[in-house]
Amino acid sequence: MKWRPRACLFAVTAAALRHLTKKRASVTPFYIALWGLAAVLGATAVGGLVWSIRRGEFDNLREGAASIFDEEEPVGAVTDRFPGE
Amino acid sequence: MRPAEERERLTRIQIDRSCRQTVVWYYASAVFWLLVGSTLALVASIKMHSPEFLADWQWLTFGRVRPAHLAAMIYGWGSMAGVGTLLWLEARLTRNRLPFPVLLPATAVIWNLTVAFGVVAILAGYSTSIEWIEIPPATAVLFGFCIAVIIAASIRMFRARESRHTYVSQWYLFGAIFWFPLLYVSAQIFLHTPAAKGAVKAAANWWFAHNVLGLWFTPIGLATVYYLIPKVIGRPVHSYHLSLLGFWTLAIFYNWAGTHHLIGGPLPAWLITVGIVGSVMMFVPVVTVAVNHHMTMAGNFHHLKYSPTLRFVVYGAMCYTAVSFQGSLQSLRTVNEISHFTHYTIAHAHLGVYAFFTMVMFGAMYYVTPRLLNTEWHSAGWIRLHFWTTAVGMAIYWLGLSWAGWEQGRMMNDPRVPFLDIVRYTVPWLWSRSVAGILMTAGHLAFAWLFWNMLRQRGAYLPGPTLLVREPERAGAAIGGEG
Repeated sequence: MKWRPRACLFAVTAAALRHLTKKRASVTPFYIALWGLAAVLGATAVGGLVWSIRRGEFDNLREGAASIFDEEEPVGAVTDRFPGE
Repeated sequence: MRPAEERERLTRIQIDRSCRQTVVWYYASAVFWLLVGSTLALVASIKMHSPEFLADWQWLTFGRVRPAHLAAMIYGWGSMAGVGTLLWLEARLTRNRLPFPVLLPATAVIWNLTVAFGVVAILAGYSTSIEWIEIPPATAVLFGFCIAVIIAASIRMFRARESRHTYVSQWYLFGAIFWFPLLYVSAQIFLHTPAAKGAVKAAANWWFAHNVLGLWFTPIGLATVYYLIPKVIGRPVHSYHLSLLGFWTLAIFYNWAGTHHLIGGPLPAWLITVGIVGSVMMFVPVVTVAVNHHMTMAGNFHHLKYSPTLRFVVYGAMCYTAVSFQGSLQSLRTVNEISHFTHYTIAHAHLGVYAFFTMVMFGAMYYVTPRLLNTEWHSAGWIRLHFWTTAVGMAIYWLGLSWAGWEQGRMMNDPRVPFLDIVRYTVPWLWSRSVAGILMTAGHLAFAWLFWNMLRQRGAYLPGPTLLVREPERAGAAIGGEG
C-alpha cells in the first residue's frame, strides 16, 4: 500500500474534530481554544528553532558560548566582588 | 589599555548609561513593592495562627490582604525587577543602547500606577477573586501598553544587534517577552468575558497562573543565570548544547503543565493527564539546566565567598532545580492526593517565586545597579545580612510548611482525624512561617537600605563599568567551556 501522509493527516484531523465536537457542546470549544493557544505557544518555539537552524546559530557553539565575553571583560576575568574587599 | 579594549569599555559605558534612567526606575519601584508585599505577607501570615490580629478592619481581612500581597509581589516586585533586568540584559547582549529614552521610563511610571491601583482596589474589596489575576481587568490596557513598548524596544535592539550569534539568554528573554502578553490577553478574555463559564474557568485560570511562573518569571530568571554565572566567574557555560536543549524543551513542554493544579477537579481526565505529562516532561529541561549550571560552577565555588551576585544567583539556580523536581513529582496523582489543598503547595510556590526567582533578581540587581550608577554598594556587611536573613528565612519557611503540609494532607485523607485536630497540628508550623517571614522582611529592609544609599551614591565611586578586579585573578581564573 502506498504511504500517503497528507491523506493520513486529513483523516486523523477529521476524526479528532468529529470526536471533540460530538459531545459537551458548550465546553469543548473552550478546551479547543485553550489547547489551541497552548499549541500556538509551542509553535512559536518551533518557529524560533527552525529560524535559528536556518541562520546557522548552531554552527559554531563554542564561539556562541563565549559571545558574552570581549576584550575588556575576557574569559578568565572575575567581574564581581563584595565592595571594599 | 589597547584600542580595542578601550573601545569595548566605552561601548559598555554608553550602553549602561542608556539603561540608567529606565532600569533604575524599574529597580527602585521593585524595591518599593517588595517592602509593600512583605508587609502584607506578614499580616496575612500572622492571621493564619492569630486570627484576631487586625481583625476589626475589613480592608485588612485575610481574604483581601493575601491577594494584595500576591499582586504586589507578582506585578510589583517580580515583574518590575524582571523587566529592569530584561532590558539591561538585552542591551548588553545586543550591544545596543536602550531605545525610547522617554517612553520606557514612562512605562515604569504607568506600571507603578497600575499596580498601586490594583493593590488598593483589592484591599477595598474589588478583587476579581481569580488567583494570580485578582487586579481588576480595567488595568489590562495599561499593562498592555507597557508590554507593547517593551516588545518594541526588544525588537529594535535585536534587529540592530552587533553579534551574529543569539546567546541563550536572549532566547529566554524573547520567550518571556512574547509569551507573557499572549498569556495575559488570553486570560483576560477567558476569565473576564462570557467566553468561559463555570468549572472550565478554572482551567483557564491555572493555565495562566502556572505559565506566569513558567513562561514569564522562569525565562527571565534563567536568562539572568545563564548570563551572570559565566560573566562573574569568567568562564563560558559548561555545555552550550545543553543550554539550548534546555531552552527549547522548556518552550515546548512547560505551557501544557498548568492543569495539574486541578487534579481531582471537575474537568475531563484527559485534560488533567495532558498537564501531568507536560509536568513530567519538564524533567528534561530541568536536568539539562541543573547539570549545566553545576558543571559551569565546578572548581569555582570559592567565588561564592567573594561575590554577592554569585551567592544570590547560585542559591536561586539551585532552588530552580529543587522546585522543578518537586513540581514534577507533585503533579503525579498519587503525590497530589496528599499535597493538594495543604500548606505543602504554599511552600512549593514560594520555593519557585522567592527562592529561585527573587534570589536571582537580588543577584542581578547587585551586579547591574553599580554599573548604571558608577557607584559601589556602600556596605559589604549589609549585603551579607541581606543574604543570610533571606536564605535562612526561606529555608525555614520551606521546611516548616512542607512538613506541616504533608502531615496535614495525610491527616485530611484519614476520616478518623477530626478537622480541628488538623488545624491545631499546623499552628506551630504557621508560627515558623511568621518567623521566617520576619527574617525575610528584615533582609528586604537591609536591601532597601542598601538601595537607598546606592541611589544617593553613598558608596565609593567606580571609574569604569566593571567592578574592581584584582589582576592575579584575571590570570588565574579557570578557563573552561566545551562549547
